[in-house]
Amino acid sequence: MNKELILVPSVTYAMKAKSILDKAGFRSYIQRTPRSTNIRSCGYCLFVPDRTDDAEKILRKSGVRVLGRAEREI
Amino acid sequence: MIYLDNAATTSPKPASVIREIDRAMRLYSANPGRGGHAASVSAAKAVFDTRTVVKDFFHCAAEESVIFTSGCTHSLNTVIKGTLKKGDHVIISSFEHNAVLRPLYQLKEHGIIDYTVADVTPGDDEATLNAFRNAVNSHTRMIICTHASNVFGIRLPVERICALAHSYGLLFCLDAAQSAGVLDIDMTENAYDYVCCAGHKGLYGPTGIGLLLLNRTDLLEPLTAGGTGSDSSVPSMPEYYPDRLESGTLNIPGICGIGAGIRFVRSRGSENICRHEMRLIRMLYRSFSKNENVILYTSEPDIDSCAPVLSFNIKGHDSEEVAAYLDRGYGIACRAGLHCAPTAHGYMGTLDNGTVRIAPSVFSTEKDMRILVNAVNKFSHFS
Repeated sequence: MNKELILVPSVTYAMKAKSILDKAGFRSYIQRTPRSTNIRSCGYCLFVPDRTDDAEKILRKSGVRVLGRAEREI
Repeated sequence: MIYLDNAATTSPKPASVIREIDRAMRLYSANPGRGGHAASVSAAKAVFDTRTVVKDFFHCAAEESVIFTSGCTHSLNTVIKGTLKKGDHVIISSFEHNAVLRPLYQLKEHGIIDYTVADVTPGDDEATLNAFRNAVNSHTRMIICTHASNVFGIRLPVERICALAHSYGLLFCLDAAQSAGVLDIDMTENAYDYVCCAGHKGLYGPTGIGLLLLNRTDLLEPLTAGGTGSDSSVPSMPEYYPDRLESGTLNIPGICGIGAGIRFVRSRGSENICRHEMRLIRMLYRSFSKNENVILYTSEPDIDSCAPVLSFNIKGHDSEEVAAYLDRGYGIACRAGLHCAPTAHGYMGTLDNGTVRIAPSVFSTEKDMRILVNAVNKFSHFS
């Protein structure tokens, strides 16, 4: 599984992450974190449908606190 | 009305700021960082965009280094009460506002800290630095210093005082209430640990919004605790910024307003605004100097050592009497008294009578100054 959701600790980080990924040419969407994740996120995460691993690397490199990854619930 | 009380709050506000606040009230009425619906996310985006505007304007390291507060007093209290521990010692300047003095006094009264006032010597930075250096002791934790006196406009050598603080391993907090938007503040170049700003003065935003800019990642103890929309299952405050210092629902119209204010300042240029206001202050100073009944307290202000604020008195008259005359007779709004800065007045020998303070803004004109000079001359010669 690709785990297309990137979990972050606050809505500020979610916004910052989206802004960074937009500039880097990634498609990303802010959405609510699924209850099943068990990670203490802010309730928001980023859905990155393509190249999620690369996106996560870019975010970590840019100083965004990434709490983990999760599956998208459909 | 001729409004010359811009050191208290700028008025009028730019039309772009008023429009943006109106827009924010209409568009961003949902709670940012709480719900998953589009309106909440859209409000959170507006807040984040303003963080970016602030970050870029002050050259902060990151968006999360920008904390929105209810004003400069709130920011200063957050730094003071979030940092200091029992036994700590603080150094402040002789020009500090009550927003610095009173929280320190409060902590001192409770037996928690002690503080020393270092005398500023206008025109002699070395003497000022020596006063700060001589006040350092083994318990000193922080220096808090205004960028410029809100009463006399005298600028302090804050870059050098900050470097001095760091050379002793001390924290440095800049009170930029009077300077943000007029004097240059660069969080990267100047390396201030904390900068506290009012949103409604030189940044031309509304009242009820302020900034705390952080250059440190270690955690301040929050002044208030409560909901942040993050880590909700945990009873303690989040251990990351900005959430740690922003409990409760944010002031979105205020935040959007300060963003529009900063964009306005950026469009005019801080340097141009400062130059314009200083030109008016110098014009005033020269005219007042010709009147032997006007008392001035500094040498002629220049752009390198002063902020655009001027204090004066008229011989034999109370400062409040002069301000009331200007208001009633000419519709000139200015502030008399102690300006919430008794330490500054005590140091300059004006504690008994206070002073009349003139503070122009980007919207003030030479004509405003001429009317003021004319009014002061009439008052001083015929009363």
